[in-house]
Amino acid sequence: MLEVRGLTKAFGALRACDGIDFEVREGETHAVIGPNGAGTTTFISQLAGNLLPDSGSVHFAGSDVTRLPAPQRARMGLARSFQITSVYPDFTALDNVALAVQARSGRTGFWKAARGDASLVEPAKQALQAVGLGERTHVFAANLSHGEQRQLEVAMALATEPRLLLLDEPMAGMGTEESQRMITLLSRLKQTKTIILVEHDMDAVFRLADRISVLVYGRVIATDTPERIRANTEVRKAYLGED
Amino acid sequence: MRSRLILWVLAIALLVALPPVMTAIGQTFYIDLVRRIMILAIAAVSLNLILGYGGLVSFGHAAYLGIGAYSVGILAFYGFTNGWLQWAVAIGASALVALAIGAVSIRTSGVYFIMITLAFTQMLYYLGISLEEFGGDDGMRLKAKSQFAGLIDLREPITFYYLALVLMLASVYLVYRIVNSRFGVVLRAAKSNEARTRAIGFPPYPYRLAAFVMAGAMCGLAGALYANHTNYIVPGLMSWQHSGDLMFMVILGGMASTAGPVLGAFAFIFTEEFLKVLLNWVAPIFGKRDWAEYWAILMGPVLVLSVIFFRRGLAGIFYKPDA
Repeated sequence: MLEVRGLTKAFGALRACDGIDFEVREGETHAVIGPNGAGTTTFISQLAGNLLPDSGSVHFAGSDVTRLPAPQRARMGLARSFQITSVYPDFTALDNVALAVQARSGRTGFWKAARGDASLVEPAKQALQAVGLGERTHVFAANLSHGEQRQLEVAMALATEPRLLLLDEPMAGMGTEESQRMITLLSRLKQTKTIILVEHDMDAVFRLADRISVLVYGRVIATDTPERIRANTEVRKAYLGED
Repeated sequence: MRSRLILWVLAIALLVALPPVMTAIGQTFYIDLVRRIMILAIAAVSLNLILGYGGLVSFGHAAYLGIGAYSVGILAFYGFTNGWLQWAVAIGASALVALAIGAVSIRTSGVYFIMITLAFTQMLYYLGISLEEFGGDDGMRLKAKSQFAGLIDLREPITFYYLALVLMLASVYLVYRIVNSRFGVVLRAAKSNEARTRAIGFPPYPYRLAAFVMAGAMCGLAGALYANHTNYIVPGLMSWQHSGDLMFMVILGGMASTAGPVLGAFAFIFTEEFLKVLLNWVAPIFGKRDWAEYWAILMGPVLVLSVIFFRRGLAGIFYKPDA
């Protein structure tokens, strides 16, 4: 599904990504973890197409997307959510998601009225239902709680019917209760979706991930199942702060 | 929604009734004034498409008023008085120039965008001044009003008035349809959150450029009307003050609202006229004869206060968000 070879990105003397090899299999939930400053943000920005690598390659669904800008990658089926909540505050929840539906419905009917168009509204409602926002469709995104805005982001990512979901810290800034709700939501999604999950909440990571890659100083030091990552001495040393 | 519809119907009824009423009481000056306002309102409505809905702070929108006006003036100068041809050229030339200016300037954002659109318009302004053949700095007289072969006679002030009214309403409706279309939703989304819009799969650039060209074309039509209204075409039409006036109409009336730019155009010009009358009335007290030209000194504070007190513009008085 996604294959990364020798991905390198430096900012001056700092090598934020230093020859990363990484692979996501169809259907798996692949978590990426790393201590602060490990380069996770730089890494996934390059996966999404917001940042171009210095060297190395990214293949998605069989084609080379290394130099492809973000909108084109999104059209190929790579949907991302943002670490910092990124919705349209002045649009309603429904309009937020309807726009995402419109993105995958191609370039036809551009002059048609967008509001009240069943081909946009119905799938949008379904996506909102799927993330548990079915009751909040006509609320402006600015008036949703932080947790609800994060759910909305997932709904938007879902609505593009992606082949790969790239979730950048979906639990960031959430309270315990909101986190639990998000974990329930994601564990339902992972049954049908391929997901890359970047997350600092270890509880969520170990409950959701099929495989985990550990990033330290811009290198992948281990990729394995959650049990074996937990047992991996190198990971414990570098990441969990044990010696 | 319904109450807004009633307001629209009332406003239109008022504008329709104005010419016969003003003719009856012998105040034909107001027919002329409102006609000018409605023509400028078309320009403001077009600017609202990119400024209000697109978030593109174009500080050079008067350029298209000038291009539209000069298209009519120059064609008439060479004897082409067919209105269809003139107005088609006015719209087409404005669209082409908007395409060229937009293609370069939309790659920038923020202050750079403002400065580039301003710079391009200043270039056109000085081009107008340097066109000696067409009057240069003094401008040119329109040889004959646009001819519409017996269909519409623009020399009839009231006929022209109603044409301006119809075209103003058409432009309001057109922009309303554009911003509520799938295209328009992407345009507004790119203003609201650009990174998100890219991530969903919409590159903002082509959408913004298309809107920029549409706004330019629409403003070109306003320019063609303006030339016929004043019968005189001057480079000053493209000056940065004029671009600023258009921006203020949009901001005063309410950005990203359907009626805002129209309200803004009316409020702006009425205030200007009122201040001129006021100053001419006050001047003799101080032993001066004519102070009307200093109206802008009073207009400044009025605009500052209105921006402070009407955050969402005049349209915000009538309109509250739904949820």
